[in-house]
Amino acid sequence: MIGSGTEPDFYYMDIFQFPFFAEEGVLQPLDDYMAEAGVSRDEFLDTLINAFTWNGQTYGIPKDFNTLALFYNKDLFDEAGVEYPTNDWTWDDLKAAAQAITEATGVAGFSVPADPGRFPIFVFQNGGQIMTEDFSDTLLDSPEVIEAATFYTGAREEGWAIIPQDVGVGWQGEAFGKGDVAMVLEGGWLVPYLSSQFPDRVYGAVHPPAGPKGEGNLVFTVAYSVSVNSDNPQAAFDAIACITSEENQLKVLESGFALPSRKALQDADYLNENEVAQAIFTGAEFATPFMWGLQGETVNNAMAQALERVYLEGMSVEDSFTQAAEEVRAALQE
Amino acid sequence: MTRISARTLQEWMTAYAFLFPVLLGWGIFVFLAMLMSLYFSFTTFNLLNPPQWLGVDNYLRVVRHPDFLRYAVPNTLKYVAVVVPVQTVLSLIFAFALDQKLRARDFFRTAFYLPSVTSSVVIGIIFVWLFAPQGIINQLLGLEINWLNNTRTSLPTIMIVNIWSTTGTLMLIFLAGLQDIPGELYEAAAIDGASRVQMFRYVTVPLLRPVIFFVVTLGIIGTFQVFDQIYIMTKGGPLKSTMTWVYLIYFWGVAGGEAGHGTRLGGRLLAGHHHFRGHHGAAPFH
Repeated sequence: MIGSGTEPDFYYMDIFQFPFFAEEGVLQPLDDYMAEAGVSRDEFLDTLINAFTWNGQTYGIPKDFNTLALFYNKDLFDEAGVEYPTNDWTWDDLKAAAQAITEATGVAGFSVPADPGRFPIFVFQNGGQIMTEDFSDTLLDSPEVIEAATFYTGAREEGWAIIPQDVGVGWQGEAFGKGDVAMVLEGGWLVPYLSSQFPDRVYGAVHPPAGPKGEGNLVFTVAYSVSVNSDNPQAAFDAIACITSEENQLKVLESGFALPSRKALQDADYLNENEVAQAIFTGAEFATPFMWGLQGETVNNAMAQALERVYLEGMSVEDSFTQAAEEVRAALQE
Repeated sequence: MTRISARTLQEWMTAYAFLFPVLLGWGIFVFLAMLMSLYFSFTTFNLLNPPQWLGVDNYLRVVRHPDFLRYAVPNTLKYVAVVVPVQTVLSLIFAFALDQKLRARDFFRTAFYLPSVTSSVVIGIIFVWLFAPQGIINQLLGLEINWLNNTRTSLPTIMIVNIWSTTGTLMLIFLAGLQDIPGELYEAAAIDGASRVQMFRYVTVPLLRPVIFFVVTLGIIGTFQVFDQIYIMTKGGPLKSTMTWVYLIYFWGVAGGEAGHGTRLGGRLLAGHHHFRGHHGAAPFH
């Protein structure tokens, strides 16, 4: 629709595709409109508003977001006599609990899928990054990434974690629902899935465990952006401002659909009463946007395959991630 | 110059009047779309900004891309080379067997044909369960193979599923061909003292040659286009071990795979060809 100039005045913009759209110049910078309407960047969670900033300009008003939380199966924890996870957990706690559960119940304690939407948080928790700050180079072969990958893939090798394919499913959420794994890192989307497919599953959720360099998380977010071709950008902006207003976000939050992008809502009753929503909302504080620049797809595929090579072909973590970094660099040079 | 009679002309008009609705739809949504994608493949079009002429660069990128040469081409050729002969021979044998006067013949005919009228998506999902690490296949065989998540077994598993699901259709075509062979020929062969095997070899096979040609052609078209089962069962993985070229087109062009935006176009063009080769017409399966 954008190619033919018939796109709507404003639309949903996913963070993963955002760099491509911003770089192609099809989005309207919103800073002037925001200033005029008295909408400040400070009203939104920093991670989110920064994510939709490109070359110093704001191109989208964050609408909602998700982060990863550590979901745990309470029955399996009870059965193994292990205490439930807390927000203060570390990698060592994760490993100890997962090992105890695997031993006591025969069900794997944790899941380490070859998934570029999960693995990076271990890199962040280890003080690393996937890409350099300007996305001009990848850090997939840096010591921080290799250490994180060694811990991550080592979990399966040491027998306290599985990949979903080991239990015959494609997604760890399904394994969790079936009770084939005790803990998974998933986002808020797991909640409606469990309540419709596995309504009997009793679970809780806390922040992902901290690594040697502290906490780290991924944030998946969408914004509303205005088209550069809009005939009436002012009206489009007004509409966005209305949809993302505090009042409307509170309604969306209370309906259970999505988490609000505004700081003012962090004390909303709904969040205080809902353990899972709160874990996911507060997770944003330590989170990095799920976005790797213009070659995001290449980076994602390279990361997934680097993990798969370790799992399926027994390649060393170092060789596999060095190869992944080379693939990304080749694409960046194109 | 031949003169066209008024009557002939009128017949033509009537024929085209009946064809018009289909020609219109096909012309716009298939033929025109194909021409457009052919044009776009020579440009920088990325769906956001207007296309600019680029020449054959997109094609060179596709051909040079490791996914194409290292995975898609060999996997597709391997797939065709195994599936076509196996499904042709199997379906011929089944057809020959079910052409005999067997007890419960109708039951077997229905049973063998059933996979062909089952949705390939459903078949894919069922086989994912059958071939799961804790699935029935492993339990029956006493194995512990993760069929679909192992680079050595993933492609053969897809082959098995496709052979299973298409053999029935091909069997039906052979069966029709077999019933066209006059009974006198078998009678004559019997009088000459031919055995069952000899009859099959010297009467059935030669007379079925046009049908065999048809079945092999369909098989080749269908196997080159394999997509559904791969999409459902492995998504081209693990580690691209089931990446065929139609799946690669999807991966680049639709799923937003890893190649640059330029290659996506190459992908789109190939997708156009793929259409043209007869996805709609020739192949009754896949």
